[in-house]
Amino acid sequence: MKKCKVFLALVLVLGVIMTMIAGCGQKQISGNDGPKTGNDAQHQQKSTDPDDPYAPVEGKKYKITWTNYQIVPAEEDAVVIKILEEKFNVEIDLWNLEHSRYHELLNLRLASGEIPDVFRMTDPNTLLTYAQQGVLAELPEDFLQKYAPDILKVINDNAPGYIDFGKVNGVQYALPAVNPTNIFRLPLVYRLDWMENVGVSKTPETLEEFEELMYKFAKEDPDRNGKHDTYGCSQTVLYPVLGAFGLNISLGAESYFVERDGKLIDSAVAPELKEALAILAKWYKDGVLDPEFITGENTGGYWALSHAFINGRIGFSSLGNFYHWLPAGAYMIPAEDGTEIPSNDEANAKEIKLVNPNAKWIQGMPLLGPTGQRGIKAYNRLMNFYGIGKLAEKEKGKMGKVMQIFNHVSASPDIEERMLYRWGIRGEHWEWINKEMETIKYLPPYDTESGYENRIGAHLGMTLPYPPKGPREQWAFDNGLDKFAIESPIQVGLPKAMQYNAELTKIRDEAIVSIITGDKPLDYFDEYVKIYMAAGGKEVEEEANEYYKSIKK
Amino acid sequence: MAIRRSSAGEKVFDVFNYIFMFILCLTTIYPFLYLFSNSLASSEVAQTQITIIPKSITFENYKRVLTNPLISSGYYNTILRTAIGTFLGLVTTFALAYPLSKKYFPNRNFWTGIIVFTMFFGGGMIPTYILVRNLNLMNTIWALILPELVSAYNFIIVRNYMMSLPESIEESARIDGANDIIILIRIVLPVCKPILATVALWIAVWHWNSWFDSMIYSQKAEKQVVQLIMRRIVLEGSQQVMNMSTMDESGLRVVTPESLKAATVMVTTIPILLVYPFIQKYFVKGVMLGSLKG
Amino acid sequence: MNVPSSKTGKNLSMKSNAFVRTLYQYWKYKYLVLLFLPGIIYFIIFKYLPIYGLVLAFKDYRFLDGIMGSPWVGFKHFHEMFSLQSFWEVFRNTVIISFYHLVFGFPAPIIFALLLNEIRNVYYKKIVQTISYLPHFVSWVILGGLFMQFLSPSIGPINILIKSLGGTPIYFLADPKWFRSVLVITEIWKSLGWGSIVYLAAISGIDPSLYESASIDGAGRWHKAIHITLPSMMPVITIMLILNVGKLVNDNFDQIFNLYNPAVYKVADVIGTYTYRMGLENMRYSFSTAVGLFRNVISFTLLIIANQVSKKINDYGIW
Repeated sequence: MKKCKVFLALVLVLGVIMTMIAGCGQKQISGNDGPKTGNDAQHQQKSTDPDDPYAPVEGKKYKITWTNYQIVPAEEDAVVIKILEEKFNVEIDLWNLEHSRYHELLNLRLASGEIPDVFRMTDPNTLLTYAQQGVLAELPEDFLQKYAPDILKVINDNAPGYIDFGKVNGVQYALPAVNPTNIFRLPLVYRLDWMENVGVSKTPETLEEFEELMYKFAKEDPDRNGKHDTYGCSQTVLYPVLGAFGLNISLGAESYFVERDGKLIDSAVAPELKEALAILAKWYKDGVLDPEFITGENTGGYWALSHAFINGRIGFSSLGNFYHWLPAGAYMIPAEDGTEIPSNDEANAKEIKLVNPNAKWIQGMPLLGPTGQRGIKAYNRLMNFYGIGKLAEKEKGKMGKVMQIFNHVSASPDIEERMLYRWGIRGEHWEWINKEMETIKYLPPYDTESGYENRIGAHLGMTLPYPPKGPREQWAFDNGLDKFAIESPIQVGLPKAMQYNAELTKIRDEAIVSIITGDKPLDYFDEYVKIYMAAGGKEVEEEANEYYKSIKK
Repeated sequence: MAIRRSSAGEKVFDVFNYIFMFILCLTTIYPFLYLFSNSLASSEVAQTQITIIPKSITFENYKRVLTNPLISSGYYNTILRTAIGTFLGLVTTFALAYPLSKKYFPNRNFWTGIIVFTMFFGGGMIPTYILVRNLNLMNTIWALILPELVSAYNFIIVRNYMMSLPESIEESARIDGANDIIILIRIVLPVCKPILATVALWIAVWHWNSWFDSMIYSQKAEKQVVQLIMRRIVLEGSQQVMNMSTMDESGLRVVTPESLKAATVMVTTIPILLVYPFIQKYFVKGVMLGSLKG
Repeated sequence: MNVPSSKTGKNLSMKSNAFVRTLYQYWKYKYLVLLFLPGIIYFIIFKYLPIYGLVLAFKDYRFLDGIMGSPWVGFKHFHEMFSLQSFWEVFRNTVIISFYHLVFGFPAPIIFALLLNEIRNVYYKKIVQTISYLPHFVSWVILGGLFMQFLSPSIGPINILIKSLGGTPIYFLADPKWFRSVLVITEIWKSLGWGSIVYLAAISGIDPSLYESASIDGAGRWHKAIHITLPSMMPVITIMLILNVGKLVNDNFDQIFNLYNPAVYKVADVIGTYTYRMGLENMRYSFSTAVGLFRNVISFTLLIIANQVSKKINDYGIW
């Protein structure tokens, strides 16, 4: 025992010594009061505008660190980065952070004292956290108006009010990337040949019609193969059925808040959810809902492929986006020379044709439910955020320079310039099919290389909500994909929501699955709501309502 | 030497044993066959229906993988770190285990304790990262070799193996005046061949399969190891990576077909598999024999 | 050897005597010290220098302040961890699953090594060895998808077999009664071949003359396996067992993450998967350090206990 004591004592002493030694090795980033105070040693340099503290110093070659969404890392001497460096007389150091572990990697850099100048964040929760940690520079309104005028214009024209999502406690810390495609809701895809076989000519418009069709798909051998081997739907049926009640829940992910009588309640505890679950439980019991819905329609590989649908097991799916289901020729792309080029098979379309060339499918509209609601989920338009790292404040004029460049690559009014920084060199990497519709085609060999645009150093800017002009988007408009879209009223990160999210999601998903499979009776729902609210659901709801009140004015 | 004939029971056992092994092999080889067959499929074949026997065979996937410039740099880095890391790791581990296998080594339990302690308690990613950075090892092969040079687990296994060796094998050499280092190299190591081979295999495979350290320490693309590149390709577009609420896709992206992903897995895994058959010869019975009689 | 004595107090002289004596020991075994130095220096630099990171468990990490400058919060993170609704459930699951792995998964490679040892045909043996360790190299990202298909109640071979024998198909991956078994069995299958290597190495170190004399005495193969092979493997087996006991609070995140779903959270949601869903990997270093520290303390304690027990039984242990 004495040896143990000696050993432990020595370890403790060793540990303390190591702690002290190593603690000295830690870099500490000193705080900063912002650009107004500026560095005395640098005020000798000639600014481009003496009244503006952000104005870049004339002739100075800044070194800018940049974070971005990289599918593949940018190569050394990436061509587009070189072009950008020359144009603005800067040196750009692009941090190739593996996007599947983006924040882990970014945080390691932050922990060792490096803060990127162009600071990308993947979602509102991370924006909140980084703002609280004080690693982001403040972006005052006049600063943005002077240095990011084009970005502001696009956002304010097409997504008014969204600029405020980049604020935390009233202070602007980042610019929000807004996805132009997410104005379109999820698709509702039906097997058309099955519909014909069971004598249904129109896609369902109401929940009742939908139920009828699902039963027919399950019971009436719609693939005419003499075997009882089909179901109506699988996991993604959650979207249209809940949407028919105005709700939205994604298993394993978020549930939207919905407005009822001026207040917000969580879809997860809305009374209508009980009705929806009753329906789904009935379908499960009657063999209309695929019993394997628990493991999902996709069994690996590209996320938007519905293996269950493709392999003819179910006749309905809401997986992916509308464009993942478009067959060749769904729309024509008018080329510059007057000819029209048919579109290609996308994702699911391609796979279905390879498995069963005779299959046909069609997209329908969201369902009208018994309470008068009608809709289906639309993804958040709000995507990620770009801010400027706090360190940039220390160098005179750096913030202005960084924002200038960022504004140029993201939103240059000259479409050729914008395309350069988005897809690469025209004529080498891509070419116009139709300049007015802003549709392009990739040139070989880049047309088979996934992520080539990252490799050559392009795609550096942020996604902005340019009004969709292309024929594909036109198809979506023509087919009502912008109608009946259920959007989340809360698109920012809120602290309590972040804190309780994992626990609440787990309680919710377990309850939903067990009620649908009949493992628990329908009345368990009321008990589940109590559990949910007690586990933090109440606090999250209060927080959401407070936030909602503050933005509604 | 009397030769026994096998009893009936033993014969029956043999039959079942052979059959069991056969079935086991069928199951364990299946995923590989699946991947292999997939890697030979052209992208014009459905990705959602994969069979063991491909409908048509093409080598275009392998061609694309092997001409990917990052694959060759990835291979270079992987082979380099595996070779150096295994060699240095083996040497250091055995040099560390031998003294601590001797009961008379001063403060033996203390030093062993210090090592075992690290198996459970560590500072975590951030301090290690900062240390590597401060030592100027970023983007070097040493960042992939040094931080996990010696595994406490391997150390324990080797040390205990050495402890089970009889002292007598060293006696004659000691009488002749050889020092510890010579004894280790000339006498102990040859007798440790099986454990040497095992630990070498463990370290080599660990190095070959590592990707996380390369992700954080090799910031330049051409310094990254091949497993990292493989993982990136295989995970691309899959559910694991897709964060539904913040989709960065705008649908124009080119998608890597499953067959290409399978070929990538094959190319990055097969080389290390070929190592084991070569070292199987070290797992030969009677390694101890020579030294005892000598 | 003359021990210098001091006139200023007996204690002091005894301590300095002991210290000098130890130094002398190091000098006496200088070659051994030379050998062990590089390894120890490695551990000090790369394992002990960074160990100050453990204090994060008691602090609220702020990037700008660094680890040392971040404010102390005492046991706040531990309080938070223990008051998580699901904490005890995931902790329990972690331990139970690891326990099953230990009871069933630990002997499996040993038995496999013994069986392999009985294969006479050298070529067959080598081939089996090589093929059996293939699954070790396929990641759970891929195996997850394969098992989903393999265990599917509708199209999976297992259930087709069950149906042909007249039974009802089992939805293995969504059935809480079966899921843990699926985890254990698939993990055994995956690690069987690879895990047996160390035992095969131990077997090859056995003196063949032991077998010969046993043959002369008329011993059968069973007798040889139980009374010669197995005992000779005991040192290795013991060490592996002690080390594995220490892993009772670990979990196989890769495997569970790629196989689980909400229907089986109750039995298979473990510490690793739960904290992953909390987004801990991304942002909350202090909290994840606290969780890690909690697990590490338990692991270490278990190891020490296992070691003591082993020493009492076998007089053999790690130290």
